[in-house]
Amino acid sequence: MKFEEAMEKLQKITQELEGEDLPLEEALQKFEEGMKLVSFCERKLEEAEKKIQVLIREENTLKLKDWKEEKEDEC
Amino acid sequence: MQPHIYTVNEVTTYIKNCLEEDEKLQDVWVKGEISNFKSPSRHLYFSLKDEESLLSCIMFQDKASGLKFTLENGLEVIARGNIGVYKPQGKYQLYVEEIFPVGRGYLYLAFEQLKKELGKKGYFRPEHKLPLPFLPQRIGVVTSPDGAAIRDILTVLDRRFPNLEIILSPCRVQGEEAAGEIAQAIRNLNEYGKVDVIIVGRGGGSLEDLFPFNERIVADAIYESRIPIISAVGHEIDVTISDFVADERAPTPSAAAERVVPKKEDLIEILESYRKKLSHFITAYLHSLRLTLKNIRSSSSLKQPYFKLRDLKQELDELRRRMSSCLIHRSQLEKNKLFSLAHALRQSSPKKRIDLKGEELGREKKRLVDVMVESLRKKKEKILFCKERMRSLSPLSILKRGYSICFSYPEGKLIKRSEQLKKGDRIKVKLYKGSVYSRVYQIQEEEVEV
Repeated sequence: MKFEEAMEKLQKITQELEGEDLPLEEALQKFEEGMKLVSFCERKLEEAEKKIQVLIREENTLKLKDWKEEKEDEC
Repeated sequence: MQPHIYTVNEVTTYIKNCLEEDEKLQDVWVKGEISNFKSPSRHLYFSLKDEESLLSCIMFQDKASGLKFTLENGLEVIARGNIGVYKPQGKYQLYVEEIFPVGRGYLYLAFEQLKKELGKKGYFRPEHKLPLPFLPQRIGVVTSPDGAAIRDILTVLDRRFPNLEIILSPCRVQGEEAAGEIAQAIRNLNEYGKVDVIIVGRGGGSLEDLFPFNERIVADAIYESRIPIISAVGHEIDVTISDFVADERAPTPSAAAERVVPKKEDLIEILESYRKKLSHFITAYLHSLRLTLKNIRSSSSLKQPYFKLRDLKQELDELRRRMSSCLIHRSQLEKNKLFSLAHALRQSSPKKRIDLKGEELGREKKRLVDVMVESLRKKKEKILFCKERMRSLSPLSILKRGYSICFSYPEGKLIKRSEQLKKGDRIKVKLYKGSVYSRVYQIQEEEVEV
């Protein structure tokens, strides 16, 4: 699932909880799902790792090189 | 003295040699206005003229294919080439190597012409534009690794979202080779495929510096990209073909970086507000349910369940009464029908008919009996159903739903209040199936709130 999809779902769940007269079990289920989505989104925000790489073509294949290493090599 | 008579070819060849051996004419720059432009094959034929003179020109396909703009009549140009003679027509002409619109105008002209052409081809259509992702996992950047643009982009991205993956697809961003390299860098990222969005751009510069972003090859690469592209070339005022073709345009590389990722703190704040909303809601909801439960517990119908049972009994009696009166009425009707049939039968004289009628009577009779039996069976069923419903309302069925009854043991007195017992008393708890014998170990006088 993508971050924005999760956000949309989250928004829908809060609206449903606030707007409709839900039976207890369904309300608890939605609450639980909503809380799960919140932590999913938070995880997603922390998931990526800062990394800068350079994409180059060598002998017709694409390779990734670390950007900083390349800079150091040049020095 | 006889004059020497030359052939046409001799004269023409002589002239050709004169012209083509003149170094001055072999690399000449000529300025003029284009007229008589035509292109019957892939070679271009036209004339250059000024107020007084006209010069025929030809540009062969191999030279013409590199043109960055289209020739048209009336256009002021500078052409470079060599003068030669085309013997079959006795015509001297300029064999054009290169041609430029006068002054810097050619950059604008090339820009306008390409813009018009690509516009016609549908390169700028909104329906072709891809939406930028809300939160890209990986961002591709097509620019020079040494330029100001990459520094600006990295700074902004780092500020807005410190843990992002960035993939630089390096290329030169000015000079002759730049356009090809930019296009290739875009294609490389598409081939690599794992980026969610691409920023293509460079910092500010002169019109010539920015020109690679006005070239068709770059426009094609952007148009063909399956990954959304945001174009960010130069400063706010600079507009390039890339900006038109790209899925979105940003005025500067920094602005592109801002457009590409949301602020991380903003997202965290939104999530926090959702978390609060959800918790707040569920607390309030449970509270209201508890209140409802309390109200139900103190309502009269729960305290006196037999009221309901009494009503049902009365209803059943009423039903039974209505049913039997209905039955009597029905059989009376059937009897009457039988009498009139018998009468009619007696009235009909011919023997055959009598027999026939007799048979018919037999069938009628049987049907009548069947109907009666069936109707009685249905009524019986209905009564049974009512009985069954009654039974389901008996206290025994309440036990089936999980309630239980407590008796003192061995006296067998029904226990309704805790004061009836004391610590150590033995009790018998009757359940839906079976009973449990136990001993009281604690008495609590007051009812405890659930």
